[in-house]
Amino acid sequence: MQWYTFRVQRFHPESDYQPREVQYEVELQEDASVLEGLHFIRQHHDPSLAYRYACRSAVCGSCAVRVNGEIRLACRTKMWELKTQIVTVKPLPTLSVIKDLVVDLKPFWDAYKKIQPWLISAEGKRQKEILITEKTSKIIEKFITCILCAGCYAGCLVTRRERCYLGPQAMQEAYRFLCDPRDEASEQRLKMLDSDSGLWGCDALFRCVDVCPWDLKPAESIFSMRRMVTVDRLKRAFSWGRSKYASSAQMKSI
Amino acid sequence: MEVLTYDIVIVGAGITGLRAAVECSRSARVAVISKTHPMRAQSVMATSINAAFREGDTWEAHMFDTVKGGDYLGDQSAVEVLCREGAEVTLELEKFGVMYTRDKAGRYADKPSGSGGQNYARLIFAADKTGSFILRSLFSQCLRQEVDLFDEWVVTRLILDGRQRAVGVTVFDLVAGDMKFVRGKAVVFCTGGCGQVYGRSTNALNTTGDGMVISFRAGAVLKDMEFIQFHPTSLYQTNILMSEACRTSGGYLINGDGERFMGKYAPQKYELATRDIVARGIQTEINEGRGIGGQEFVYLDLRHLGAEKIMKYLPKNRELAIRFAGVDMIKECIPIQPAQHYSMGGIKTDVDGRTGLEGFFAAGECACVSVQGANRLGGNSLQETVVFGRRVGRTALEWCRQVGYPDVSEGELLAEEKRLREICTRDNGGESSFALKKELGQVMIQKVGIFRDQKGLEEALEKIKVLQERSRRVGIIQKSMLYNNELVEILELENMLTLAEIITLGALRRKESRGSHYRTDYPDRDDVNWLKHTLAFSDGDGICFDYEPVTITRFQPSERSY
Repeated sequence: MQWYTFRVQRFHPESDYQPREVQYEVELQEDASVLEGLHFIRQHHDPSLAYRYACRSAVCGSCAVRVNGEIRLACRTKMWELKTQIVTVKPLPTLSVIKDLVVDLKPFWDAYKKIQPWLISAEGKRQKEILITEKTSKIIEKFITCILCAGCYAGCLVTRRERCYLGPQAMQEAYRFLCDPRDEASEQRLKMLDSDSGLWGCDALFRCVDVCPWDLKPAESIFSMRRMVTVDRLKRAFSWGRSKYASSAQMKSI
Repeated sequence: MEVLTYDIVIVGAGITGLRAAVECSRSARVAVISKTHPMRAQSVMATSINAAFREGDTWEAHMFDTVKGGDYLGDQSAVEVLCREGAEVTLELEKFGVMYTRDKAGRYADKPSGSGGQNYARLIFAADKTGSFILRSLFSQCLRQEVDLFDEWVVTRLILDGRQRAVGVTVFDLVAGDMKFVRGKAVVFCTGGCGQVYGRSTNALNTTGDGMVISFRAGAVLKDMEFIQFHPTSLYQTNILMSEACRTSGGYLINGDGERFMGKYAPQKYELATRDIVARGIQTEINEGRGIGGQEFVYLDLRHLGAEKIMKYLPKNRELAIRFAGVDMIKECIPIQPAQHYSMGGIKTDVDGRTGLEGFFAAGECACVSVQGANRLGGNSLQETVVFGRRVGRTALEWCRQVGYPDVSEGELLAEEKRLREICTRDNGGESSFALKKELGQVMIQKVGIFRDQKGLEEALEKIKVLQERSRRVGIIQKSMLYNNELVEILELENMLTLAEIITLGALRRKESRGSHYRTDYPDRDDVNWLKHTLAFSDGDGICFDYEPVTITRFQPSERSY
């Protein structure tokens, strides 16, 4: 067991004008998580501390916070890896704080909904599975590793500045549907993203790649889609060929 | 109190609740209320789903495996519905965006074997993220269909009118910090399990059985609550789930003597016996001092599978084991122990989700149809969520078309408001909900766990009574109601204490061993006296018990060995 000093940002909208930092002494095993540290504070110091959690195994995406300045899942961050006895915990940046470490994720979910994260295709009743290549199913599976923790959205410097910017997660989600051969709306999806609040808003700082707890690369999706749009625009501008957004068949080869 | 009115009020936003919402929201106004955001639901943990559709497999074969796996306690008319519809409903999910893992021919990939207790490899999966993928697709579908999703709303009570018809639920809205009443023609509970009643559980920290207890208090019947599934393989200490995929992919279980011990308990199936048998096997090894180094764990060995297979079938499990136990399954053995995983029992329903209370329906883990019997097979829970989620959606819709909006007496709502205010203002008697929850978890694991006996169960009951008494002395320190998590914890604690009592009483009464319920003082299955369901209901004060016969249609009970 080891004693740690937790400096936790507290904020209660009914009694605080601005956030304040409160210090707590916390006793934990070295392989305990920051989430367990927060539980300790509630049990031994102040039960009113508010933060989100559920699965405690890095699959539900509830507990993204800033630990010593970095965006991380509290449940997945072990004390030993912090290499310090002083642990500052703050809510995700960019999003407004409801109380203490609990933030309002509405802008994140709004962006998610905006890209229409559902299959757009002629629906029919099927008795057997549709044949899909093993490679494609692997690509899609990778995107589903995303647990929608909003870390990349909050960490992105563009979302912080531009309220209407879709953010990395939503665009990666859109790309997941572009990679899906069952989806018939590639053209429409790319057209929607072809704007400053979409693909062209990205500043290429790759914060999203740095923060993803499951090592996904939302920026890669953004740049793949930029390339599709650019190739198409070049074709149109210089009459290089058929003027149409890349079809999903072409996309698979990317 | 603010009042919202909908046609159908669904409580719980896991796969069952969202599947029900997708089914009924095209032609009714639907609200889905949940304690957390839908994407944080327990359903994200599920790794694969059964579907009897491959060549050589039949729904009857699946039905037989399920009935036998459930130690003949499942109602066979219900199991038949599950297995007949299962394949279709599972494939239908692809329409909503799910993409199951494909093989080289472009068809659904196979696993090396079925889940424990199955004679056919009928699992389909999206790597080991199937639950997460299904949940995400249904969540998106709900967004598409403009379902009103209310998250961080904690349901406190199911409200009935004078004629015992469900008319809505009262909720505590965490973010607004106030009470609301959501009125509906139909109320549907899809609130999931109760894992946190046990100190060792694979379930999320907020899986506290609220829906089961709230319906029990309102007059619904709870069925077979003593049947609690222990998952054989959870990480030592953290109890994070190493999914059944670890065993179906070919993992071995090794004890402290380096012996692959499952042969002693299941001479044919070894690790691929049902979960109750494997969990008992592991616990026996541990209890008899053959844990690794005499400690409370054994090893799960996957090294012989090789990196390629592990990366294909178990990428998420590998990542979790590295992260939370510090071991890489490609090179090392994983220390594991059994932990509570699933509740076979729940709110008694028929195959359409009707509970017996008018206007009140239930499906999913919180319900007991019963398809899982005395022990659930791996892959059957996801299948239950989608099959009965769809069915309950249809039933609620049909009910809605026949009835008008109910009248609600203000008195009921005020009474509930008063109850919560009393909790909030009562003196802090020096007890804490954390400590009580911990004590409850310990006693349940030790005395109402994998092995049970008369003496232990009686002791547990006594302890639960003491804890119930002490829980009335838990006060709330913060004055503001905004995101008042203390209130939520007190409500959860009360629910868990009630549920613990029901589970323990049921276990005490059932003097036999069947499936997950194992009495060391009655080690045999007793079909003459106990081939029947336990029913628990409230008479206003206490817990009453009754029994009902098991529906047997195709498969007569016979000896169960693997």
